[in-house]
Amino acid sequence: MPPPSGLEEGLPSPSRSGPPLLEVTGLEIVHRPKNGAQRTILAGVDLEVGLGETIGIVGESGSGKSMLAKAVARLLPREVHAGGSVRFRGTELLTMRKRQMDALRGSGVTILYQDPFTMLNPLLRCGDHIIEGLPGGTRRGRRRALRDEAVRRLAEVGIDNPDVVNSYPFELSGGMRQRVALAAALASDPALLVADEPSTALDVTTQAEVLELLRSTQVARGMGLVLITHDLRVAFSVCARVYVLYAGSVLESAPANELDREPLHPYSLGLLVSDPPVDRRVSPLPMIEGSVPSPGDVTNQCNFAARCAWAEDVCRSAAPPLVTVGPARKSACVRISEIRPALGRARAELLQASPPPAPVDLTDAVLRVRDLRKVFAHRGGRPTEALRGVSLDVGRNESVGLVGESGSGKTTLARCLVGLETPTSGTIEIAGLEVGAPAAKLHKTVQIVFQDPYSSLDPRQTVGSSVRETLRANGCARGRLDERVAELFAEVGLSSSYLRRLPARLSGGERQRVAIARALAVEPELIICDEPVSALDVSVQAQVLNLFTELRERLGLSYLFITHDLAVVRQVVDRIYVCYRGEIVEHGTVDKILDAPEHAYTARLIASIPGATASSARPLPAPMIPR
Amino acid sequence: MIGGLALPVGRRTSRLRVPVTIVVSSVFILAVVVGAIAGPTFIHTSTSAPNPLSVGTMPSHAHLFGTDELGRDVFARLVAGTTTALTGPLIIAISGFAVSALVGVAAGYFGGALDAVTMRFVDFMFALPALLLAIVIVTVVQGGYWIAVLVLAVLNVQGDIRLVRGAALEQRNLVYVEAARVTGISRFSIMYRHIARNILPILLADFATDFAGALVALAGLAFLGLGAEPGTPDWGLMLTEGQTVLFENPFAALAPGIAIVLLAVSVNLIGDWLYERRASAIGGR
Amino acid sequence: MKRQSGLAGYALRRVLLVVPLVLAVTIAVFLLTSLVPGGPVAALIGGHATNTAEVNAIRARYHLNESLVSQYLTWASQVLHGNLGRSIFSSETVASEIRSRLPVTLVLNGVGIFVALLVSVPLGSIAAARRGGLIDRVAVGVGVFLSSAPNFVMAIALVYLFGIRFNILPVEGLGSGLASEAQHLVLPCVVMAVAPLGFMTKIVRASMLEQLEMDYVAFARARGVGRWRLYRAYIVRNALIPIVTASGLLIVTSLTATVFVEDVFGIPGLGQLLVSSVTNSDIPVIQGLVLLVALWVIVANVAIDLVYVAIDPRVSFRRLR
Repeated sequence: MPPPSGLEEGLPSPSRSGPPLLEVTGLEIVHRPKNGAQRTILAGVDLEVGLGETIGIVGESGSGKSMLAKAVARLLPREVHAGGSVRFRGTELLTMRKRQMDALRGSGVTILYQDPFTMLNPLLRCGDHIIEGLPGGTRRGRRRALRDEAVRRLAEVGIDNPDVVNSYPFELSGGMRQRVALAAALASDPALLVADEPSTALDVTTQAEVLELLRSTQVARGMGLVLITHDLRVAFSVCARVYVLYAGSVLESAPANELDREPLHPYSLGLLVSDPPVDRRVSPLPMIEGSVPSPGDVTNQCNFAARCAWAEDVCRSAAPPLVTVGPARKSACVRISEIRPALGRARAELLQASPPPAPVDLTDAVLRVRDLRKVFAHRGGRPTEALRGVSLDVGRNESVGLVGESGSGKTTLARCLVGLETPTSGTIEIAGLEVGAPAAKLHKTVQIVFQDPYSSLDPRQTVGSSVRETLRANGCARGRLDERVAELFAEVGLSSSYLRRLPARLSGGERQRVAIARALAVEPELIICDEPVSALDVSVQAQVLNLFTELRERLGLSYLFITHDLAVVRQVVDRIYVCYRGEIVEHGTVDKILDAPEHAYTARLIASIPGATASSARPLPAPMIPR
Repeated sequence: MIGGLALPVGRRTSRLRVPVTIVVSSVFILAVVVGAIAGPTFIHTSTSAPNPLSVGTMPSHAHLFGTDELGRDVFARLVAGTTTALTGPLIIAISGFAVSALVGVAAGYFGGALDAVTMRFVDFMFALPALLLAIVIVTVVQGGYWIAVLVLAVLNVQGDIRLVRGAALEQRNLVYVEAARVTGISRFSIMYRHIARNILPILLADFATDFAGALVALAGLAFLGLGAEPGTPDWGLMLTEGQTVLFENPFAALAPGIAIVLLAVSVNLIGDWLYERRASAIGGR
Repeated sequence: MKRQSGLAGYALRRVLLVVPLVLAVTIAVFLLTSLVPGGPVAALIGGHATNTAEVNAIRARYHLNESLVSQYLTWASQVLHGNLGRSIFSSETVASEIRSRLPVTLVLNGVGIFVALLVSVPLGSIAAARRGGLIDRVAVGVGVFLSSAPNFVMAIALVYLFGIRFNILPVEGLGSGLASEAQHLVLPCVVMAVAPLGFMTKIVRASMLEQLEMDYVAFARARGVGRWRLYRAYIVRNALIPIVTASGLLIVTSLTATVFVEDVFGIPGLGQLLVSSVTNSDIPVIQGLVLLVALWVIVANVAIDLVYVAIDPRVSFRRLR
């Protein structure tokens, strides 16, 4: 990937003449519900975007990053109020008359949202989304000229098919919709585009394309771009400067390349190292203890103190200010001058590569899948073939990765394995027993951990009761229930104080631990892990991945690890199967597949990882991108 | 909804604010229930014996709401009418609740043939104007109050099934249900413990809607002379009979009318409130 | 272009789906007579069969001695020719009874629904746009109160207020002459409009509020889409889908309301005909009315479905796949 604009010159902001495009000072956002307690979302944030500059705002859930975006365009939801100052080209926006602000949106500031599936009006053709934003687009007449312009605008975002102008959003794929949305956002030629997680809802390869598109249009148009993301590497691949946001405050700001080279806040470091590297296996993965606090829970202290390995009393006595620590660099760590060398050393040590996993004997396989096919019939339509003859093995105590994007069939395979779908043909053998006849026995040997910990637990059942119910259903004696529940909770690192809580009072990571405990309650031999960390905060992902590795060693479990994330796969599996359009296109050991992929699709997946080529210790072979 | 009462709820420290309208509605419903249970013990005026000497008199000390076209005490009849006002609607709402909880949840959960058959039935019934049909059927079979209750109970159930089935279908596709299936929890448990518990607010809100609807429908039938036997103190019947003395004592007709409206509004308010709270109660994301 | 032919195909299929439904309804209506205590004979002569000769004459006239299937076929072919039989009570043909009473009922229904929509759509929209404000509170109150208050109670209250207390409007019958008829219809039309007004205000407000929360509305705002366009092309257009569904329900419930309104105000419409035929057990008239109502409901439902297709491009697409 070519370096982002502004990096070559090494300047924090390319243009210093006149006021900056956007200048945010002391921005506070507070949620004041009509009946309920007031809650701080953003506690005094300063930031700046120069003309034609790209900045990144990186934060996990609860950092307040999305509200920041909305505040800039004065589109905060009801009962949420902003204080401080937001200046656009020197004009204050927060106190601007409503009518003026309405006029400024579109041509001045525009936001591109996250979800391409909900962002477009379902009843409006794609062309109309663009035309309504064009200068004079809402006037009647000139239909033809406007349509031609819409076709040109679609071409700008890489859609060469002019018929898309007449399509409705529901007729297009997610990636296409995101492109149309971008064209719509750009229609009124904004001076500043705020993109809020524009690629998160998309598949890996599409993600990379959309990011590249954002970057190239930003350069071509010379507009200001604020990219909001949870992923530091995404920010590095697109932005010149990056702000790290945590629980409502900026903890560090720095030019992207410098932050990547040397983070100057323990949180930035934590974020960087707990995002697993794709180029090596690190065991155990470095992780940040605990979970992200909600802003407002942490006052009069460093927001990160509770989770920081270097925290001392100074950190807990007052909220540290953001101070200059280098050219164009600021950090909110009061101890940074003391711990700077320690941070650097920690990074090197934490990311030491471990030796590759030993090969596993496959003669005694826990799972044997042969020529599995699954066809979904549609009423009055052509049937879709989700699986087209998939064969794979998982050895005893082996961890196997199944990699692919949405639509590759990997989730269908998982559902067939646990009996949620019936395969059309082929065989599945689990622990020597063929699946099909005694379906009731199936769940005893195989379990699944689902992607979304928010919906995989009954919202009205305490988590203790959830595990207890599973134990009961699997024949655990009544007298031993309490003991077993406590054991299982301890097994996944939760204290028994969690037992009586409802899922809503647990963080994402904690819920995923409960889901794992519930799966273990059945005492399975094989656990299917269906994207188990992709819905979690980056700083929590590593905790859960380490838990998986630990449990495997301790309990002799086998895993089939389904994911789109190659970096995750590198950390936790021994072998990989690559799934593409319902077929296994390539398989082998982790190192072989990730370092020397043979199939073009695998190569494309690897090339799509943000910053993969930039930060790799070992350069990857040139990817062949099929078109 | 200006003020409100704050009640501590369960073990949680968060306080639940109950709007004034809900408090007032609850008090009114309670009063009607008390009237139905304890009415006979404190109202000693006859509700059926005609008194030709005081036909259609305006409210006075002796008769709180005056007398009707036969000289009977309107207030006493109003209190006596609480029993029929509550019984029929309760039966209809309970049967709707029970049938939709059983059939609706099962149809939503299992899908397939059971669902197809249920939905065919529901779709067919949906197209029918229920009350109109009830008028026709009750007349044709020459039935009284209980027939009317039965007919309305049958005609009412389709809406409940549709609603509950939709809600169950939504739950069914949630991952927690699949997780329960995979961990070997029985279907019965999944349907009637997990799913039913999660859609309970919908069931309760629907119960309220059913009750209010049935109250109005039964009163309507009685108003047309269908259902309650002439002479019984039934609010709908009182309304139609009181019309004849509308000029002399409007309360003979208006009092039962207002009673119906207040009870229906109260129940609907509570139903709406329960339904709206669902979103805030579950939204744990 | 493909979509155009798809639309026509969809419409055709939707209309064809009605056929079995109509068949079922006619069978149900036909069987109504056998539900009556005393059977079809009692039903057809009004319950007081005097002697065997009369009964036999009736049985012969209505082909009651033939099989049920052939009875139905005979009956159905007569219905198709507009022959719905004769009223036992007035001995007029059912068809002419219905024809003479249809107009006033249509006026009541039409005006009621029209007024309800005329008030509720702006009221609900403004309430949603100014959420929590004065108009919103009024709208919420109107929604709950008017939709729960039964129309017969409302009708009697209005009769008392305007007819007795202030005596400014006629409350009985239709009068004669256009001006008088119009005057007589004011209160009935008000009552017809009241409940739908409450119900629709609720629906309009809720569906508008739902739209205001939508991602695409936020995105459109962020892109600087003008206020008017936002309302017209985004909020109203999308909110129209639930509003149309509710309006469909309205067409059905309104028909029921006519019965009560005509009863209280003494208006000679279909509602009154139903009540009188019901009290007189005039089965042929009841059959005719039920058939008419069923067809009315079916047509309304099909019409609503076709309106969906016009509003929402996803509907025909989904069905076509």
